[in-house]
Amino acid sequence: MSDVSKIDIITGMEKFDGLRRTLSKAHVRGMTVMQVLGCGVEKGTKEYEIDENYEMELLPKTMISVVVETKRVPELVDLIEKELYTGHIGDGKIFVSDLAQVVRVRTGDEGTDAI
Amino acid sequence: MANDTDKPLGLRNVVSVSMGLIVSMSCLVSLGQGAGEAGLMFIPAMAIALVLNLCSAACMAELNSLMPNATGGLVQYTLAGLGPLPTLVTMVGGYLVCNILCGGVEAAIFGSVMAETLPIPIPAALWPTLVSAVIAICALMGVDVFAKLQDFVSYLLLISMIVIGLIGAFRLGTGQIVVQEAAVATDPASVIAAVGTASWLFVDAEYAIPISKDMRNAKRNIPFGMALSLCLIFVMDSIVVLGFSNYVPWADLSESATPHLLYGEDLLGSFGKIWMCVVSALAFTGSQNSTVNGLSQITDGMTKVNMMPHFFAKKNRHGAPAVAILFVTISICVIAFFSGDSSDAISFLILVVTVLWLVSYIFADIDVLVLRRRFPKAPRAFKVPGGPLIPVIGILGTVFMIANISSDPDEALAIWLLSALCFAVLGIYSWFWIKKKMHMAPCKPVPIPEVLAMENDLYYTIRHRRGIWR
Repeated sequence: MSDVSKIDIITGMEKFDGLRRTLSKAHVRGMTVMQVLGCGVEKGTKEYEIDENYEMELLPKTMISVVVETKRVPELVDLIEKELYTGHIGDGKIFVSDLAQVVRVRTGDEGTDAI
Repeated sequence: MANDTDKPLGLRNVVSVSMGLIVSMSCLVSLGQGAGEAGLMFIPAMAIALVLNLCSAACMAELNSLMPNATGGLVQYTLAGLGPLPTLVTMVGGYLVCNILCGGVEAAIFGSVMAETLPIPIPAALWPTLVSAVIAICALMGVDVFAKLQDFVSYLLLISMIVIGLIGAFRLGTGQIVVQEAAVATDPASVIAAVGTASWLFVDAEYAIPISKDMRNAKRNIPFGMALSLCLIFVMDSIVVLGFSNYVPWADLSESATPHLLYGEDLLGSFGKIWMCVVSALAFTGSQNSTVNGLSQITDGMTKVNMMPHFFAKKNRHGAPAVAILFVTISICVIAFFSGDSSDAISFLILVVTVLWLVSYIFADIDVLVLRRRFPKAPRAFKVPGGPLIPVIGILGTVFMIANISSDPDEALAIWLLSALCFAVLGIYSWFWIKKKMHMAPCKPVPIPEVLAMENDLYYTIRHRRGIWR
């Protein structure tokens, strides 16, 4: 397992502000945010509808990527879960992956020194 | 969805709403009579009751963290934990009927106290009607106005009670100082009876939960605010009991129908009596305001899950559930008009439906255990520490309150039997309502995402159009 991990969070746009604030308080330094389209296992069916969509309907979402030290991953995932949780369908998903290497171009720092 | 920072309410509102409902006029009476029967021993009894009620409040807070935006609070928690039948039985019998009856009787007592104390030729029934009308208008103007009124009333009440308590505790009053034994009774049976009386001084903190969707940082403010309000009430009541000990003989307190007015009179003469009359008015206003707002939100929540007729969900331009507010207010006024302050039948009926209400507390504690088992990994912003210990203590505490519902064994037996009968009748009504109107399995818990989806008005509309919900 590498020293550096990447956390990708896909969630509703309205939750981004709170999440940004929470991650800032947790001393996460830097994030990348993308507006994306996607759906989960419900195929984009709204929570109040009766019948599930036959075809996938893509909904606008926000994807936030942060790179952190691997040892901080459990703490941060717990924090993100609590921030995003409402109990509703569409709260989001969190993906954690190992990063083989990180390099800061300006200084040439590598690994945890580069984040 | 509103940004968290745009929400109008904060921690002080949780405290004022919880405290406003708990410190009602009947609580002032229970405080005086409890102190009269136990003396200063009533303070440790209150401490035990505080701990029991903190356990229940903590369980409610955990449920709130699992379903943070649920309008009706306990309605949705029980629906997800135990299914529609237990929800409908306890919410109709325990919450709506019980609190409307209590509110009505409280209003009648308030009218009598005002008519007796103030030399103004106004009929007794007009006082609570006037206050209820003002409260209804504030509630109709939205949650912001409701919260401002509640803040004003609750904090003024808290300060008034602490000041009048401190005057007595430090023997600064103008009345005759009484020298008497600190504790009236110290045997275990008396202490247990005192804990039973003291428990009523702390119930209802969960009324803050329905406002959680309008609250900034609800994950922190709801549990912290409920605990803070209970602790503030304990401090306030303890100071007042110390004041009682210096100015009113314990026997007089336990025999008086209005011991708080007696204390005011013995402490500061007629000025003290008027002061306590104002305190009574604040207590009534605070509890009525919380009741009207809380019950209308719970009614709205029940409407969303199709447990009440849909017209109760109608909102005005301020977003307030107008029909529900008017229904609760008018019901309270009607009960107040017909009850009078000495109606034994109504008081007995209140004790009966109180059992149903307390059962809803037990269900909430069971909900915590059930939902922990079913969703062990759901991220709870607040989780009651100590595993199952605190919910179990909460259940035992509530069973204790039901067991001590009346000091008269014959009356207690009659209350339990009639409560069981109410359960049976409500159970039959609920069974048919759920089968005919909701087309759901009566005892099958509803998944949390579906319970929360019911918050959306389209959930009802779509099912109603397709004939699934009627």
